[in-house]
Amino acid sequence: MKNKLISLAAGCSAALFAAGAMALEIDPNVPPEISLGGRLVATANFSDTEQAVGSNKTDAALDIADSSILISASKYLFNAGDYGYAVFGLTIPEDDSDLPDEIFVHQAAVGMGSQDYDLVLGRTRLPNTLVSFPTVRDDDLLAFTHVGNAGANVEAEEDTIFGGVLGGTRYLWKQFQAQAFATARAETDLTNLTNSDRTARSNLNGAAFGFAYEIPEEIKFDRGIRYAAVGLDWQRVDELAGGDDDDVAAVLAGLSYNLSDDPEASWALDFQGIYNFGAGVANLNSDVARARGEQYALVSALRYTARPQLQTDWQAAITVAWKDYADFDDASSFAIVPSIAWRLGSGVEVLGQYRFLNNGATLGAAENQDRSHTLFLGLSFALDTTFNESVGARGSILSLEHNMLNPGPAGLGH
Amino acid sequence: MSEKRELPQSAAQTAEETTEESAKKSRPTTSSSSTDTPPSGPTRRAVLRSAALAATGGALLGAAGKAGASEYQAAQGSMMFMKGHNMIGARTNPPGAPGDHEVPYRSFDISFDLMEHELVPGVSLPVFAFNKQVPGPLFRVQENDWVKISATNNTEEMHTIHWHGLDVIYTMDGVPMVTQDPIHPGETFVYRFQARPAGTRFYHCHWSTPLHMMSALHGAFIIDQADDPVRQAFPYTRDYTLMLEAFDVNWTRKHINEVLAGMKRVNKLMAMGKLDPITHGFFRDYDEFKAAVADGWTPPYVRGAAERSTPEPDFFAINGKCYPATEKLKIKQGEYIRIRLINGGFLSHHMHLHGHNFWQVAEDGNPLPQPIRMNTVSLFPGKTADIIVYGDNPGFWTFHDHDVRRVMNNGIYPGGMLTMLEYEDMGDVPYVPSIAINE
Repeated sequence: MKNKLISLAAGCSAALFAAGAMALEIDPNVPPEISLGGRLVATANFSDTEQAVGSNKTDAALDIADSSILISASKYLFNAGDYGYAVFGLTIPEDDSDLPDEIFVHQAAVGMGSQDYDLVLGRTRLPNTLVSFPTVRDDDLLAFTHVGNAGANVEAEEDTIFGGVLGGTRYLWKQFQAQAFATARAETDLTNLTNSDRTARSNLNGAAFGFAYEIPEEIKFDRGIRYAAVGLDWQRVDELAGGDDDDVAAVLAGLSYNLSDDPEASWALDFQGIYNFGAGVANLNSDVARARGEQYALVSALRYTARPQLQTDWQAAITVAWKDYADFDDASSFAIVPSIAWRLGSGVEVLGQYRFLNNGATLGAAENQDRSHTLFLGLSFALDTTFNESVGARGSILSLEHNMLNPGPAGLGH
Repeated sequence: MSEKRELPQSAAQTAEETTEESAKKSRPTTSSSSTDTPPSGPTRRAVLRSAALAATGGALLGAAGKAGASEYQAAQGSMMFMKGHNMIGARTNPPGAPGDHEVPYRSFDISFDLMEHELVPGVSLPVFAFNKQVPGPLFRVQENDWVKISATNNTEEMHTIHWHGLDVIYTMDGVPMVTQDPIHPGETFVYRFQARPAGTRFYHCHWSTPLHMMSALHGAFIIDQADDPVRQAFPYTRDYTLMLEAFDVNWTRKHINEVLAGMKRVNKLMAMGKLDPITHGFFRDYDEFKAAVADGWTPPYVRGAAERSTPEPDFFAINGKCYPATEKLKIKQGEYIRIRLINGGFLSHHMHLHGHNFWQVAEDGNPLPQPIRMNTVSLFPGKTADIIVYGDNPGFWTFHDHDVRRVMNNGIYPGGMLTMLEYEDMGDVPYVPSIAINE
């Protein structure tokens, strides 16, 4: 999905793998396609939080979290039809993150593919969400948009969004794809919830399956369904008090629907629902408990994009989200997030966003946050450039509509 | 079919001549008339053009005493400044040429198509192509024939056809926004002209020329004359036409994708009747353009908006194929053959024939006052050269661009713009060529 206000490119570096013990010779005269992507987003955040204990907390911060840099490489294999690729990326966690470092390796994956399939092995985005919503950052509505990490009690959105992924996508027809992955989410010692040290990052402790219909937004601009998907996310995690493992499963459904036909003034509706069966928790007082509780989450966004003379000028959106924990009274939450982006130049945008979050009493007490108002005002600079462009794009018109081969990695390197 | 001659290289590509009846049956028309009559045919475009004239109050073109460019009404005759001009199914007969019943036209159909073309085993690229072939069909007519070519756009992109080296009526010259509006998706545009002067000419798309001409909307247009001075001087028996081409596979793929993505929106806006000409970068005149820039419109070539992307061809071809997929030229001892070389790209090529000194007999299609003896003939962009080879040195002889960077396939030598002249009557020979693709 590329619904974000600003899409991020992905990348990798073949040179990083050149010195491996099992590496065979590399012909240095066969250059890969190199993509350099990234985004630096800086916002001034002003927040006013009504705490459950009765007091108000105001805060002002300069936030550069979610900024990232990515490099990717891809090249065709000897049969000139299949491709291989690698991606490597770094991102900046939030100030209050439990991550030990100020830089997090969020992309380190290698893969291969063809017209019919795409395989990936390594750390990348987890298949625990279907739709990207028009918020300034990935984590602005994280509790509503992603299946939480039920195996780690951490304050780090990176451990929810990114993880180890081993699997792939089978393209049944051009726009239809089936996906199956084994996943490796970060783990912490759940017998000591105050210890946020990761005990593992690479244990294969989950799986995900999905089926999707998708036409890239660049191609599908007129009225109708652009994206529809269902998914299943499953985690096998330690019990909170030790003992046997628990299973935490969630089903997801997503839809993106174009409401208008006008390419100069487009309206789009995005929707995602998640039902998490949960693993049974006694309270919602910790991050991991909130990830394991049985819950429903619905998110929808209405976007308007102004493209006078087909030049994207600005975008306004409003995203609403609702969530409820089934086993607890007054444990629902909702959020309203209007946002706007002005395009000053290619990849340079002024951003504005307001987020209102309201928690029910039980959830508010658990998070010590009944209501909050946050205003984000900032600027972002994004780049997405490709050198030695030689590998075709999977989502291109030539591939999708004219059956001309040579697709490249899906969402990586372009 | 056009005039029959022995055309070993291009026989399969020769343009099919159509009868009037078949031409009418094969193309949609929005005209209420069953006959193509350019000056007065009530086509949709003609109606719109009349409306445009009424709206602008423009003076008629060529009014007596109105000399000088400033005397003309800018953009008169163009409908690109009208918001509603969806042309799907339209059949456009531009003014300026005689009607169907005024001269005996030889009729041809040609189409613009999107296809995947194989340059050499293992390498294909998407191209816009005439009649789904690279190069486009070879037209072969007699000097002064009246020719009517119905060009149908089967793609989502716009096109025109420029008749390179022909002295056509200006409304048939195929330069978008200069002599005609671009041919829209789904539209048939009827070119009419008298084929002259005689010689080796060619045609190519003139819309977005770097991409369209290179990949691969180009073809040969040969105009014969009854008393061909070349044939009189050199009684040749075989006549080859070689289109010299250069392709940037990756650039072509990228830009066709971008063009198609953009045109989806443009076509939609046209269908909705709200395409603003500024969206396509169209302005009635320079003052209007300057005013738009001053008003904040961003030209696509300025810093911050311009792509840094220039085609750098990596495959070089003769008649759509790179060596070793190129076709051989055949000759016999004592035989004259004529080779018509056409530079269909934007690079310069210097064709060298081993073992022979040939005669260049024509340049740009026009006979030279005296044949020039040479073994390497240079063709700059847009040029044609006719050479005569005499079969006096039996053997297998390579014929190639002597800028050897163009005798490679994606940097691998040999390949590209290379073929062979082969004698057919050598009997037993001590050495027969094989194929080398990586030296």
